[in-house]
Amino acid sequence: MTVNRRDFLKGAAAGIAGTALGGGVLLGGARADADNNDTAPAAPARFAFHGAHQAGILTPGPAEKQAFSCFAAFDATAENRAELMALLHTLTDRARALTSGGAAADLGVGQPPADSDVIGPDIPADGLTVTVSFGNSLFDRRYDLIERKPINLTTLEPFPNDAPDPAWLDGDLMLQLCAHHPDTVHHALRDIAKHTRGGMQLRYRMDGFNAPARPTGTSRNLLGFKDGTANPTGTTAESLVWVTDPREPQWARGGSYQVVRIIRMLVEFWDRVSINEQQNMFGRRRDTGAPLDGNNEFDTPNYPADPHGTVIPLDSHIRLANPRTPATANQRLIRRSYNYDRGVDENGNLDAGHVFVAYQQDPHRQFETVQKRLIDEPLVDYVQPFGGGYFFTLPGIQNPNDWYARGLLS
Amino acid sequence: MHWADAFPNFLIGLREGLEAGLVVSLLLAALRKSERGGELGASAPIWLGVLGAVTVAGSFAAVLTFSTSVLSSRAQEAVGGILSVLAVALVTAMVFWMRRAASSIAGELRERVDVALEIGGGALALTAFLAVGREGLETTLFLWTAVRATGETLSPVVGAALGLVAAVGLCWLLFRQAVRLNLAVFFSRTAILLIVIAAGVLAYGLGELQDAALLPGRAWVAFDLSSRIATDSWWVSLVSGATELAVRMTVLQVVAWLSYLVVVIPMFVRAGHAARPASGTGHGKPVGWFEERWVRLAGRRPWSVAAAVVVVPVTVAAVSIAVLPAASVTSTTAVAVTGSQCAPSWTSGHSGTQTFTVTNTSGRAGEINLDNDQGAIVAEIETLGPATSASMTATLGTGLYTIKCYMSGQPVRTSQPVHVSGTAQTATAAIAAVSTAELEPAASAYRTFVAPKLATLATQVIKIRADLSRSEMASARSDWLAAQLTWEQIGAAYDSFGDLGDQIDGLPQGLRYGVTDHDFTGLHRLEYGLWHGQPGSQLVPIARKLQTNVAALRAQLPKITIDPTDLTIRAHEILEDALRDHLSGMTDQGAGAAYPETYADLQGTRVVLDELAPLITPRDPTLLPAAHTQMNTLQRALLAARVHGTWQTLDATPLAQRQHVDGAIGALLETLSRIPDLLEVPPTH
Repeated sequence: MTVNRRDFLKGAAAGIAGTALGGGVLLGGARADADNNDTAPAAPARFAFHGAHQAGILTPGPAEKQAFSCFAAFDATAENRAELMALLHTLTDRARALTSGGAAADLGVGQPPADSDVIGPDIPADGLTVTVSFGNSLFDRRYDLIERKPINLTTLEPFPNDAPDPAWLDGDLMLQLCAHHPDTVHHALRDIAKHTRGGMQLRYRMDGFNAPARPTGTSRNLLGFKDGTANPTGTTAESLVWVTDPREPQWARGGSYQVVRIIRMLVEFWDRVSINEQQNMFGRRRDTGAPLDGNNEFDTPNYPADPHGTVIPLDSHIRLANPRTPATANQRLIRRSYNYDRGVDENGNLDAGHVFVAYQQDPHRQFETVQKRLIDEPLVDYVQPFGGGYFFTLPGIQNPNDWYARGLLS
Repeated sequence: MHWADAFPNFLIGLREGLEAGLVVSLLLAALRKSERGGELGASAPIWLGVLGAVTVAGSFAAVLTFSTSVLSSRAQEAVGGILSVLAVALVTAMVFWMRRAASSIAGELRERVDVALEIGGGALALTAFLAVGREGLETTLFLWTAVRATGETLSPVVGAALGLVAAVGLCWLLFRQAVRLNLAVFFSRTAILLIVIAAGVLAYGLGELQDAALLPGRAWVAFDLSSRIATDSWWVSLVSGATELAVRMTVLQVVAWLSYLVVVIPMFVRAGHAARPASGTGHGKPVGWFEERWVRLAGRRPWSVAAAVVVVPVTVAAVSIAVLPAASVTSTTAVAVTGSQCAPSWTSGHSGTQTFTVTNTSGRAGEINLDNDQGAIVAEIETLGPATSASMTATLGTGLYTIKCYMSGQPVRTSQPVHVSGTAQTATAAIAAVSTAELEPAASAYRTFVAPKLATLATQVIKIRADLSRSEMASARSDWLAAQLTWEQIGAAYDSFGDLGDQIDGLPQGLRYGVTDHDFTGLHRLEYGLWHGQPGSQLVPIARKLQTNVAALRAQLPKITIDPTDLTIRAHEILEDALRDHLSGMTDQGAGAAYPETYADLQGTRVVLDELAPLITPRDPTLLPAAHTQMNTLQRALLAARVHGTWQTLDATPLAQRQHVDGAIGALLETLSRIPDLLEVPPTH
């Protein structure tokens, strides 16, 4: 058999092209698979401390929030306004240092070391964000702040079906600490408490964790359901979360209202409930997170097509919380919640639950309106909100000379 | 039944059937022209060969179906992918071979028939068997791939069957010379369609291999239209059915699909140009020595050959299937609920664990049940929204099963009863559905139980009021406990009492001013006052109000409907409340009565269980005996926590005793929590 040289070259070229194409597709595929298998694009090691808004609300946003958190409520023990300002200067310095990372100052041999070394001598930022908020009780005569209070800041009144425990309610300051690892959160709280002793005293604290996506999509709460699927994102989130109301004091612009609700979940009781009842309480499928009228987690429930709640019950959580009507669009809020799991109760049941954290422009228009719709939802039998409060999250620290609440106090 | 899914298989059935049919026609024609053509039964060996070929194809299909159904889903994907690629290779080769051989095949076969006739009938049978068998295997492979790709059995099989019937009819007409058909043109026209279909099968097969992780790139998606277009719309099923393409494809799939078309179509067209001048001049290739040897061996033993080609494949298939483990691993059956039918495509089943994926195209919401021949429920999808899919899994034994569709606003529809056969030993326990009417006697019996309890409560509240007005606080406290325990015993009715229930038994939690809130009233308000040193005169108005509320409740009772389905839930919830509210100390307003309250709740639970017993026992004869044992354990643990016959507070009880109580109530609750599912009432959507 003779092979024509031209045919041979053509054949060789085709072979090379085919091999290159096939190889390229397979290699590209392998790379895409590898990228996809990583839990996410590597989480940033640090988040900018300076900015118009504080970090830990939309940077990183709820869907990318750090895996570990602590919600620490403090009461101010500063004697007067000058001491309060000193406290906030210190708090600013510590938050700036901790979120940037770097070795602690060397204090010499004449005193104990500056840092605990709990996360090593060269302190990593580890994605730490410190988010500072003030409670209603701080704006009182002690510091002559009554007149300067944000107009929508009040004390959380218990809702029917709540099980409030005064030891777990309110506080003058709320610190939200979030990081990629639990030791980083612990370290930050320990460091801040050490440097602010005398100015503020811990009142209660709850540590939280964010579960990884199981298997995909939004992470699950301890009732087994995906939680936070319908969170607004992007510019919608921006337009719902930052205080812009001209009636608010000037210093408060760019801040946000934080609602913290510490909610025990009665997981043993819950596990004894039929799957149908569970899903009807939420309005979503437990396995996929899809609304009961959809196939995928991010499908939009079509309530007009289901006016009698045949598919998604009228009293289900998602339907009451977000009816998806034009009238309720501005009631949506940014949820940035964590799970907690802290031991055993007096009956030998697991003491676990949810730190519900929401940010919004106006807690009355948003959280309270939504929560009032949820008052007698069937889910209340299985959850016991017992702690938390309303807080005002300060605007961001603009530059290295700025400090928390400068606009309020000076 | 989707005609779009049937089309590619119709084409394959027609093509392969025509090829096989033509070979058979030519063999018959050659036989007739030979000297022995006129003898009676001379063509019998040919038909025996054909029968053998059909048996091989059928056995192959059976082995494919049974062997892969026991594989894990990943292994099924791997086998499906490999066989798809193999099917594409065979179909491609067939397309090119026919283009080349269409003109020369007649002469070739005539030569073989002559050789075979010299040797004997067995050789003729073998020749027919070899000629037809290959087409049969190709058809089987392609069809099996199509069934996997569409996730449906009926449409591809119907399509292929119609194609084969058309091919046989066409062959008969050609044989009778009733029609004339330019076979070269026919084969080249249909070939292009086949190439397009084969490209889709190739893309599908590669996708399966990616899903099985045998090829990389599963995550490198070229496009995913599933969120943008309705995958159940007619045009999507038309396009995807006719081309075997999907709404989501990886880059590898797209590249392979395009490359295959870009390479194969021009090659095919060029092969056509090259072949045309040669057409008509072709002569059959000489019979190969290998084939000749077999043919000689078969020789004059037509019946042995026929028996061998029929029996051997069947035996091999039967042995392979028998050796493989029974289908114990989940297999998936896709069915649909349409506007007028319930799972029409479910026509056969085999025993073992399987998942039914139900797609709802009815435009309505509803519930789907899988019932056994007793009408008891084996598996269910509680809520299936319009245009959604959901799955239910069950382990089926042998017997008749029916899928029932309860779609809102429609009569209940059922699938045809399907006979499930197989060797699986275990089956999911079936639960007979309960109707509201069946629960009604329990609900009305419960109302009969509640009425005298409320009368007792009314008397007890009057006594408390009398104690308070005389400032006899010790008697007031013991009378309060008696009243509270009476109330606890009717726990299954709380949810029916509405606001009055809250007024009688409300708690300070959730009230703005807690224990000092004006709205804090009823039994727990009295408890708070009695154990916090409040004077009788302060509590008399509260007792009076409680008296009024209890009287109002008694008056309303005949009109209050106790929802029968609530009763099944309260079978475990009375004690869930005891655990959550009493044993945690949450409801305690000073009396420390968690244990007597739990004891009363236990008695209340016993009443509910007794009334539900006629429904529970037939469905699960073991449940109530187990629950009674556990209730007795709890009762003993509670009574043991007393000191000299006196109830103690939680704080005064040693940890070990508290643990006995908590453990006993927890174990009991795990048992009782099965009752709501066991006695579930199907929806009245």
